[in-house]
Amino acid sequence: MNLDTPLQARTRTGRGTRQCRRLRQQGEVPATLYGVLYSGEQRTEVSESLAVSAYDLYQLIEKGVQFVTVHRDGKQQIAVIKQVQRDTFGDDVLHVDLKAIQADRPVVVPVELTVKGVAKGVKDGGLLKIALRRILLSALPGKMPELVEINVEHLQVNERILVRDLDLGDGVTPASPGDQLVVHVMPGRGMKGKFPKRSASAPGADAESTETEAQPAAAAAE
Amino acid sequence: MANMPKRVKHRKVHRGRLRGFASRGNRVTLGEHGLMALEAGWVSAQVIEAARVAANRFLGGEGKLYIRMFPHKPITCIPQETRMGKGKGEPEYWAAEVRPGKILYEIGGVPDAVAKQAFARVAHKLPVKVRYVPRRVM
Repeated sequence: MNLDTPLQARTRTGRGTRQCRRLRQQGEVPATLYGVLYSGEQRTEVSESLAVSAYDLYQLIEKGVQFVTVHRDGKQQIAVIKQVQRDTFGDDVLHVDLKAIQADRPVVVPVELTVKGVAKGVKDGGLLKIALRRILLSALPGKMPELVEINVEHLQVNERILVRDLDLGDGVTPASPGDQLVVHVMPGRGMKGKFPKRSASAPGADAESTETEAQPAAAAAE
Repeated sequence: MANMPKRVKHRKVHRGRLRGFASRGNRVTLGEHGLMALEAGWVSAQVIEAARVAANRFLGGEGKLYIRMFPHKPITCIPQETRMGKGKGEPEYWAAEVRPGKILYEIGGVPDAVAKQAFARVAHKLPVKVRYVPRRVM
């Protein structure tokens, strides 16, 4: 992921509801830059109140940018957009949290999951249920993928993909639990009972359980 | 069959006032497309059901519709040609209290053009102004 996306900011002196409201009326958004930076054994805590342009911030958020370089008062700092507070209708950005990070230390950030292709099960009349839309990944900021694509073309009805089945690349590890469900093809209307019970997409993963389910049925048939 | 609570603590409740905005239930969380209320009002259980049927008929088995409101509030009425007094009326129907910003319905598994058309049919049934909202990443 690109770390050089600039975000111009200025130090904010006014605090509190009224000052922030005035700031928003002037086309700016109150922001906070915080975090802990390490250089050798030295530990530096960062905590600054900033104001950023609402237009610039909105452009970055719409593009899905996660890492920015905050320029303020002649200084630069790499940061991750940690949290964006919006109004009730989800239109205006009220506040943004920027967490200071270092390029040589791994970070944990949520990355968007996108589904690629049409599942076989969906073509048969099933319904693709996306259980996880953002996955927590741990990696160096430069190696963090912008999004994770999941190929679902091979998925039949009642098959699923778990976090541990994802191919994330070198140096990227999931911070979410491995057995967390990502996508699942559910039987469509009028399809219940026509398909065998759930089996994992990975061929080796649930092969035993499929066999154990099949054995009693075979015995009953005999 | 319209929805209603299985059990309630009190059969009759005050009408109350719907002030402010929806502070919860104002983000699309289950599907990819949502229908957001822009006004405050009561949405009766019959209307919730009618809108559900309208959307599902249009979707024709594709995608999945989620209902994000529930009729918790009993609404009482006094019969016509009844003299004033003699206490509060009997519960007539159940309604969901809706504040501006509340996501009323969500649809997943269909393109946004299809979802918008389904929501247009839902909007005709509802007593409050609504608008389409997509799911946001951040």
